[in-house]
Amino acid sequence: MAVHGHHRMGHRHRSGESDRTAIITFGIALSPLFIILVAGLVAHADLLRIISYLGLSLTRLITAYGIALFIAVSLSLLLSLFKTGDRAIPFLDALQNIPSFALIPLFALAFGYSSIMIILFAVTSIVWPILFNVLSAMKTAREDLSEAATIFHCTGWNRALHFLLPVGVPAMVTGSLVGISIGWEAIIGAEIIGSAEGIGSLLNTAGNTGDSPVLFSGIAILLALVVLINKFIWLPLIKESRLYSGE
Amino acid sequence: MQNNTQNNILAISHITHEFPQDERNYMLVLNDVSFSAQKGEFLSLLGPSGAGKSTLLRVIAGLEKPTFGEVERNTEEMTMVFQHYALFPWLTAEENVGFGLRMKGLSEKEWRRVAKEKMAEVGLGGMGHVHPKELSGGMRQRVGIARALSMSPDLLLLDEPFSNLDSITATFLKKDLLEIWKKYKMTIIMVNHLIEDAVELSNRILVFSGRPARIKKEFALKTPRPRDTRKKAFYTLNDEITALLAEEIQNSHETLLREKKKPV
Repeated sequence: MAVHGHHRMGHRHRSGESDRTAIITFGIALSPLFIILVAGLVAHADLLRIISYLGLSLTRLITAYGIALFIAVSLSLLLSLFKTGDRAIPFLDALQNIPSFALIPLFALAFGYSSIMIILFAVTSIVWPILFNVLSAMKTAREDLSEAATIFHCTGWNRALHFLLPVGVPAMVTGSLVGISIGWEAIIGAEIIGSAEGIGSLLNTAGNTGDSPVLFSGIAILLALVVLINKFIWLPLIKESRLYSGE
Repeated sequence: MQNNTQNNILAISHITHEFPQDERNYMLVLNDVSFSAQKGEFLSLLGPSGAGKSTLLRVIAGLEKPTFGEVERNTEEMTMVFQHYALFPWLTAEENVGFGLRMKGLSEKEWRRVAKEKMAEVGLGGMGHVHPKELSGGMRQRVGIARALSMSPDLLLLDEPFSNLDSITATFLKKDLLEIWKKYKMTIIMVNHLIEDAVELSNRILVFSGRPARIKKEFALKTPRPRDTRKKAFYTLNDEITALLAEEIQNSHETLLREKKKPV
């Protein structure tokens, strides 16, 4: 119901809707920068250190996302190409229900509190929303489209590449959107727990030592980064991916 | 009827098919259906909607494996036109038309050349770069037909190709389809629920019963096409088939009533 109401409202205010969204998004994106400047200049927070630590965390996130996307999409393709793949789904569902943070000691034992450990831990969080979104999109593809693919000789590797993959594109985008937000949590959480260099441990130390300029400008920059990534990467991708669902 | 088996492009025998309804029950949709199609025939399968004709077409196409019975194909290339067009939304019209040839391994230059040619043939020349969602229903079905033609099929299966179109669009498309059939002389098997279409286009009509579908009666039509749909003979046959189908629809209503009255 709530979704429905929201949708109707969206239609009623259609005129200038995108302009307003752009201004609001821009405002939200700019306000943290403003705060950073003020906080940084006034309190002499070490902006360079904040940004370089954030860059380190972002690199870990992007690496983890890339690995998770690859695993999720290839697994979805395999499970969709072969009928017996259905049997693996309850098993995956059970795996997904293991709380990711419970795996930290295991990863730490294997790799120490290193970048590799943080990335692997993030992968185990990011992979699930992408996997289940893409897999269900491939499994529930319009039946006549799937039949048309068969009739027109789209089989084997071609079927994966020219039918299943395009069918899964919109779900890849929405799954990634959820995956990335979970990924940030995982990276920052693991950095705090492992006291590894990165925005997580930086904020944690700043909080513990009462270094509020670093704490607030750190959070502000992080927020700005998240909003900018959404605005300039995910929103355009969502729009692009509509072509694949034919809407 | 089946004295000329060498000319058969398709022979199905004793096709029986059931769908699982729940854990224990099955629904019988096709009941011992046998017929054959000769090269160059335009065969129509008529029957009450929901009877199982589309399932039969899928069995013929090899998309559905029948519970019982055999399908014998003598085809070089079999292809299909779908009720809801079934065009790939992420591809342009031209890429949709060239899809089958591309999957067969033709070079891009070659499949694009054939696709352009077929697009022009169905009256959509110059619209190759457009995506399906930007086309009207009639245009989408034309792309669907061009996609099927690009494979140079000797057996073309049509699954209620006009049922989503308004009557004017359907009239023009039927005319073009007849032209295409005359030019290529492929065998066409068309599932339909419009009696007029079948009487106008086919040289043989199989009338099916309601669920489970079995062949109720067969009509051979000898008059050349295009047929004058205002002649007396047209109406007489039309009425005869209508009466047959009315009987079947009445029967299926009664069956449904009986089933629903069963004690719970």
